[in-house]
Amino acid sequence: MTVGLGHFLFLSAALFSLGVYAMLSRKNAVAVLMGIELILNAANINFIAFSRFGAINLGGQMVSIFVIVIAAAEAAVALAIVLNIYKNFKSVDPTQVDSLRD
Amino acid sequence: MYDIIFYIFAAVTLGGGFITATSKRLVYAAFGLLFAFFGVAGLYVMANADFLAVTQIMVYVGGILILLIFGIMLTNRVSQADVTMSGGTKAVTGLLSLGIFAILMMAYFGTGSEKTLKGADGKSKTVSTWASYKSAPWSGSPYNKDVFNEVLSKPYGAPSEAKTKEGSYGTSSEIGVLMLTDYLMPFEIISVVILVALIGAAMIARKEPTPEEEQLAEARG
Repeated sequence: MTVGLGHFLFLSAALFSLGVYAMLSRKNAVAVLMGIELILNAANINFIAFSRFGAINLGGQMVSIFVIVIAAAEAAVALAIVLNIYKNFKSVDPTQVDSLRD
Repeated sequence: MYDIIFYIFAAVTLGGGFITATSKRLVYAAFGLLFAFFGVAGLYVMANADFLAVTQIMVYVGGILILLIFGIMLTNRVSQADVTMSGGTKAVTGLLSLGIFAILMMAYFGTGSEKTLKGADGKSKTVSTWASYKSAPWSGSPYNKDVFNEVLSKPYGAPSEAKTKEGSYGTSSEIGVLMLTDYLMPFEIISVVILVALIGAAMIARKEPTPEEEQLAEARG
């Protein structure tokens, strides 16, 4: 079977699920960020695949450039926040950062 | 040949993603992420997106991954506690992500279909088509079904081959032109977003000056 749009979509769905699993099952904020990067990459694969096999020409590639830029900005800000959390809580466990709760 | 290379890149991507999602050690997870990023870059090449592949390697591997590894090193203590949730949470999360995968697959198999066509040059090509599908999910929606059919039923390999001018290589020049014409507004907005993120990250992550340091700074003027 020739590789087509479906293969890319299947791969991207699998990568997305792995990203969701990584994001939800981790107890370390940096590992949660890794899961988010996986999810963004899965979305990008979809954009590129539709750009290749559909008739949207380079539109998909343009969108994925913007996704990559947003991902970079997000990683920088999120890591700054994680460093601050570490400074204040002496831990990067997102389940322990709940001082607003009571 | 194309297929074999695709499957290799797919295996690298999914293997890296799996290590990222399940490894007990954070540094191993970061290395898994490295493989996943490289695999995705390879997939971009397979889909005629050469500029995106290079961007992927430069931004993700050269930037974001380094940032993440810095984050791991700056926040890890020697006696690091377990990095994954307890067994019950893990099971629920695994079920949830499997459910998401199943829903995505149902959406894929439920809405489109693929068929193999014989091209004019005798090669068989896989074409995704929605035209053969009787009731599209948006049949009651305001979207124009024909547009979607046209988008998804166009034959194999249309984009870059059709648009690339003779004597030019790859998509970089077209992306550059598009960036300053059709996508000028998002381009400008995203540059402001990047600037704000830069200032914000530096602002959040900087050290609070101690009182003595503040006095020193005041004395210096």
